[in-house]
Amino acid sequence: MNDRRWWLFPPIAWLSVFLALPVAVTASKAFSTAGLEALASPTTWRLVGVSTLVAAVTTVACLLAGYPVAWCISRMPERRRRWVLFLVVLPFWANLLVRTYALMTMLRPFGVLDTWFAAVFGLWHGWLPFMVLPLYNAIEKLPPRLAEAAADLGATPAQVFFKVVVPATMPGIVAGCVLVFIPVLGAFATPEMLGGAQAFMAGSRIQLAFLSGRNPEAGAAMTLVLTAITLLLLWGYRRVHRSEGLL
Amino acid sequence: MSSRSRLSIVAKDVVRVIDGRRILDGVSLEIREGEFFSLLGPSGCGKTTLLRCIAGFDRPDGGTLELDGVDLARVPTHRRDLNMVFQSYALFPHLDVFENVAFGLRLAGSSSIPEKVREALDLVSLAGAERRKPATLSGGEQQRVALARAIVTRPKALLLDEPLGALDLKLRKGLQVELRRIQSMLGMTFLYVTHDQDEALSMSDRIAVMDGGKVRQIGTPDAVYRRPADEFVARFVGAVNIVDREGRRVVVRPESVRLTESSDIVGAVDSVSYFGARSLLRVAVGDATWLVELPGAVGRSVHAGARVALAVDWNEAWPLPEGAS
Repeated sequence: MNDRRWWLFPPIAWLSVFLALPVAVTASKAFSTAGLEALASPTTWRLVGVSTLVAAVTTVACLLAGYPVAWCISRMPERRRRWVLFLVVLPFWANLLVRTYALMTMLRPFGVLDTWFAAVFGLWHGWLPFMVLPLYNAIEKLPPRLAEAAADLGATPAQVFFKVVVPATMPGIVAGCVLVFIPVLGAFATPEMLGGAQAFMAGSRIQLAFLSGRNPEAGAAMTLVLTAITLLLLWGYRRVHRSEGLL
Repeated sequence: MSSRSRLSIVAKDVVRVIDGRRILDGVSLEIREGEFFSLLGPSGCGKTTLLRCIAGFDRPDGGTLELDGVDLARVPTHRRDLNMVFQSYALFPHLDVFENVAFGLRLAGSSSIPEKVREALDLVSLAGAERRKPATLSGGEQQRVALARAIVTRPKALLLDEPLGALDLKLRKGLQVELRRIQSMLGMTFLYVTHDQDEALSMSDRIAVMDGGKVRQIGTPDAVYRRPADEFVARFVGAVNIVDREGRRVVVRPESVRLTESSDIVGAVDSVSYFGARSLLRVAVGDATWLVELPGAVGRSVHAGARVALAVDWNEAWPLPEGAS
């Protein structure tokens, strides 16, 4: 027997206690009568649809804003680059609730508070760094001659970007999208505070069902659905891109 | 070469200033169609900057560049009918070998792409590697793909920026021969940047020796080696003895010196470097050190400290022009 196997024990134990066990408990609750009832309810699926749409919109918004930012940072001189990266992660030094309250006071004068726009804006603002960092990482590793080689072979600037730069940074794009999409899919605090009653998402329903409601089974059912959507997306991505050796 | 008079790439007084330094300080060149032309010089001499200006990655601050008689100043990179081979290969990592080579053809909307790609891969001896990803190839193989990618669209000229610089010596020697073979087969103009004088001498039709942003000499390999324009060229292109004779500074290559029974140049052997086929002796004659190249076996019989007499073949010696540095 190899002694090194003992090193695997702590992480396996950690995963068992904090991941496998909760998932098992959730699943057992979900497949109860009340849970299956919730699964059959159109309200559940409407909320799942809304959350998926919000997560998709937020992810795309983060990607569109994050790519230019990451691009500019990667083109900066070393010293300034470190400062700007520091500024990108600086918001994490403040609690999410504090940041959201700050956004509330900022958005109120514009009269957009308690709308879907405010909810998505808050999510976009909160998760943008999770998009910028992996994108920066991928763009920074891009060989500098790659774009030149493409232009040299006759690619216009737009063709250089879409035929070479985007595909070559795809691992970073996927990582950023996964890091934004998954937490936004289950978000509840930010959309509730900024979007008010209008922005009621699956996450809010789950929180309500577990904490103040008397229906943890319904919450567990919806949790499973969201988890399944996440896994399905990751699996789909792997199927498409396995041949290219990404992820 | 002289019968071929059509010009491919022409540079006139090209100047490039970066941070107040004149990287290119009035460079003029005329490269003929179908010629294998090398830019040779130490790092920082401006040879790569000139190449990047011709490719369109960099812009000259003065002078003009022409390709086939057309001024390149207003032609963007992607419209210049020139392809580049980079030292770092710069293959597209997300595309396989076939798609890398087909890249330029697809952009040009070319017909019969599979045939052209196959032909190009045959030419670089990489047939069968179509579906492999660049990351799975060795450095030499990657550079072959880059070469196939660059020649497949049949550009007016190929620009090669130290393409073999990242490869080990043996591979480099093999690819030098192959590059030259492919160049003559296609009859394509090659502009080749290198700091390796052996590479430039063995491959080129003509060489421009550069230093400090200026062209020091343009000539055939034989001309720059045996009739250098100045001391810099003499020293950069191979080992050299520069001696005073009849009031002139004279270039004597080590292979023009041999050992003899007696002569007026007598000294003590300082060191012997044995390379197999040849040996290089350093001989201290008075204050000067003479380099003497001998057949390997002859050199092996000489030992450090021995007193030797040197005979110079003055017919092979070349006086430096008066006033040349």
